[in-house]
Amino acid sequence: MASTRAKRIWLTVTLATAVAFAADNKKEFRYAAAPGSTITVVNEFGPVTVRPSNGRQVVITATTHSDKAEADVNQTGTRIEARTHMLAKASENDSRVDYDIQVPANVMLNIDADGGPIHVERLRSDMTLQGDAAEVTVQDCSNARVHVHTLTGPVTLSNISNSYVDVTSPNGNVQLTSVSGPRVTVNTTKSNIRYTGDFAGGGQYLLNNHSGDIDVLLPTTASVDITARSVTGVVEQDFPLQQKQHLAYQLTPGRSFAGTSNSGASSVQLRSFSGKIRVKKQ
Amino acid sequence: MTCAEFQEVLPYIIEGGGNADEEEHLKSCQACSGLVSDLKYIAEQARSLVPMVDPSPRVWEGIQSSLEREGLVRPARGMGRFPAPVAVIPRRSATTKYLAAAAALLLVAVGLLMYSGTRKEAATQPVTARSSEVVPVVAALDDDDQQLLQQVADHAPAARAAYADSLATVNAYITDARNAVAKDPADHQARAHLRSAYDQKSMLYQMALARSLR
Repeated sequence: MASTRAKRIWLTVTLATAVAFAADNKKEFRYAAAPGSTITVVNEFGPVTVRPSNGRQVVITATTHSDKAEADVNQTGTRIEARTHMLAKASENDSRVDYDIQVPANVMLNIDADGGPIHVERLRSDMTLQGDAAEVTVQDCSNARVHVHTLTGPVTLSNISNSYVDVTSPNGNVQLTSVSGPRVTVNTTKSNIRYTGDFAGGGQYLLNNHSGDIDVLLPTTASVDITARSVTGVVEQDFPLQQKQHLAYQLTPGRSFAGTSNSGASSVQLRSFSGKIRVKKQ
Repeated sequence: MTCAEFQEVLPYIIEGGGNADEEEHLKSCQACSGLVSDLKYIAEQARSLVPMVDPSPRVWEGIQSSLEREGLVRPARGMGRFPAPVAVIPRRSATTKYLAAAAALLLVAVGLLMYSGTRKEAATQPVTARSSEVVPVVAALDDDDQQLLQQVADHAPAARAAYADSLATVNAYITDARNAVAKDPADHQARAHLRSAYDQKSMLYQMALARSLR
């Protein structure tokens, strides 16, 4: 038989857990998404996760953690909007709303979640993901248009193929792994850019920053026409390249290099003002 | 009239037209007429981003003084207006209108830089600076930036520090790139960095505006 003390402890734990969950309020919204639909989510605090749904239904599950915040979700024609609305002044934790969203794979997506994190996977959408400090993760997407804007939030893209990718983040580190497409552009200021992959698809790749580092790891099978230039920083190359014969500018050893690998199908420009650029064999 | 002389007065005449010499140059110079077309196109596209509400004269004065500080225009010959990437809406506050106009101003500045980078005439004057001119240093945070930060702080005090840090970071990028362009106006790499820096600053302004319009 359990002692009185043990029973008292168990009762306290159970009550505390019940109180915590009582504050959570989950609501589910379901809409039919016609072709060309746009899903917009505006949420200051809390994660936003987007995954593909079955069929053409959009399912938005919003979980609030206090009675000071509510999720306003509605549909007007082809526009579905989920917006967190504050009912009273609240702390960050009380303001938090968690969104779990399932969408047809090709709807247009606009996520504005300042605190984040934002996670998107397995879509073929035109998506704009924005958040001041949001950690943004996009994975396993193809035939997509991916636009990511953060101030300080780190950005991680992986397994993105045949897509247009555009990432801008003055202070958030950007990591791309197996990201390829007709155009991939990353623009940062102070933060670092790391690319691992083969720059496939005969596309145009531009990795640009001011003072952060740019690190590229690519396999010797990569077919690239690669140019790396730093105005005042250092450029290191540890990758076999055939020198280009005709260049429109002068190369400065230690600050720039240019060359091709295999057939040079993809154009890769690595550009830093004062940061370090390193290109290595994977 | 040379292209350099024409482009100095361009901000004042782009809407209302210029004098006989200026009109003659515009008709005869393909480069300058192309520049005017590009700027008008940028202004048209910017208009389509937002409903058009004409900002108060104070806004234009603010833009004028910002451009003078940047060295992109010289004081006076009357207060010609810019091709309005016009104000952003907010009936909510004049400050937000001002910030929106500043964001549109950045678009025009990028347009000017992109055009001047493709010109080949050695005699023409780069829009940014001659190598012998002193490049005005982009302050860590100028008046427009301070207004933007105040707007952010009014709506989301906790976000102010992140915006301030990002603005200072991007302004440092702009300063470095402008110095590199001033040192060698024909350096395409330096111009490309300057465009990238302005793109990032434009993004910061747009994100801040989006916050304040929620």
